Parts: sequence; structure tokens; C-alpha cells
Amino acid sequence: MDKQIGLGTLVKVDHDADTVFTTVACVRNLTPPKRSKNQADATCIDDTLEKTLSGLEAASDFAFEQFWDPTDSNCTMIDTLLTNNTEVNWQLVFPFGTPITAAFSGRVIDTTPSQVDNNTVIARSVMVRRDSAITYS
Amino acid sequence: MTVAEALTSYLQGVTAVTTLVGRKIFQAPAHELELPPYVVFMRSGRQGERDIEGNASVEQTYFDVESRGLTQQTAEAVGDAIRTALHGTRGTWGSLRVQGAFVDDQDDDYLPIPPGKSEAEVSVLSRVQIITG
Repeated sequence: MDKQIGLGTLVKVDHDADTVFTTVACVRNLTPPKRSKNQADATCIDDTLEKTLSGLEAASDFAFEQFWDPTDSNCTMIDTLLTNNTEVNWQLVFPFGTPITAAFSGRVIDTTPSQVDNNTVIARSVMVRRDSAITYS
Repeated sequence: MTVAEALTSYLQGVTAVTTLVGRKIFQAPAHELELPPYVVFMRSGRQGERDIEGNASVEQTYFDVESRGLTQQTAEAVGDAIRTALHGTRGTWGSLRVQGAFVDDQDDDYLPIPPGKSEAEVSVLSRVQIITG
């Protein structure tokens, strides 16, 4: 198993559907989208332990924090995706010895400014709702 | 190849550093007759996480890297070049895969006429973390 730190991980988005992925610059950290399945209750009245059946895969979110400059294309691109509710293709490229790309589609659903104080860089968090399966290559 | 050998080899390949110190980058001790500016470093720590079966994960090696010069300006210039060369970099150094190198801190020191020398030296100490694995 290749054990890898996060330095060099890339967030890429095909923001204008031209099949060209743009790297979102100045990302501070990210949390990849999780996978989980909805659990339907299947507990009978005489069961002594709760039972569930796996249902559909649940929607999930991918979140990242980026330094914020409202005039910079890295930020305006995200703002436009949020405004237009556009579903676009995303890639997360992990810097393993042989890089691994996680690909999925999703919509920007939230941008939350981080607390602003006198000694840290102004930043915001961005949340993307995953709308497709994740494929790895 | 040890991490120290890889660090030496990497820094000796960075033009911004060698322009200032040539190939005078040493793992301690530096030759006492070495004329400043030069770089001397020593390992200050080594940590490596293990999984529950005892298998190795990535390893962090820490170095104190001293950039020495006869003046504050010279030592600082070398220290800045070291920081620029190392902070946030990654790649293959010699035969070693470096996942990340970081300069965690930097501070100045004054060495009143070190042993074997005739003049005082100024040192800019960079605390460097190198992650391999």
C-alpha cells in the first residue's frame, strides 16, 4: 500500500463543459465525498436487534476551503457555478506514486466565508453536492 | 540513500542556493576552516507512524539547517534561498521519494568567533521537516 500525504492534491473542474479541466488554485484543504447507503428499517416485531436493508446510495458532499479573492477567476468560477446551479464534472487528483483521479459530477451548493480576523488569510469553504457515482482511474 | 544525503544532493542542485554558497552544503560538522557563506545541517528528529500491524507509514525527518555568513544580510539571503528551495516542495531527490518538505520556522543566531575561525558568524536557522515514504 502506498501511503501518501496530501501535498500536491489537485481539485479540478470542467466548469464550462468543454472537457477541459481547470485546476482550482489556492485550495487550502479538502474533504472528498463520502459513500454511504440509505438504510431501510426491516425490523420485525419479534426481533431483538434492529435490522436494516441497504437502499439507494445516498447523495454526499465534497467540501474544500479556498483562499478568497472575489476578483480572482478561481473564486468567480465557483460563484458562477453556484448561481447557475450547474452540474459539472469534478476531478480530485491524489499525488500517489502513480496519481489517482477520483471523478464525479456535482453542483456547488454552498459557499461559506470563514471567520475573518487580523492574522489569517481570508478564506471560504465551498460545498459540492455529488450527483453521480465516483470513478477512480 | 539517507535523507541527509538526499537533502545535500537536492540543495546542491538548486541554482539559487549554489549561487550563494557554491557546493558548501554539509551535514555537521562542517570543516572548521570552511569560509562563509556555507550551509551546515544536522538531524534534530525522526518520527514514523506505524499501523496496528507495525507496518511503516510515511516518515518525518527533521533537520536544523544553518545558513552561515559573515553578515546578517548574507546569512539571511542564504536562509531565504534555502526556504524557497524547500518549503512546500516534493519530488524525487536522488533515489528517495520526498512527499513533502516544509520549513516550519526560521530564526537568527550570532556565533562569536566559532572554533577555528577568526571572525564571528551569523547563522539563520531553518527548521526543516522532510516527509518520505
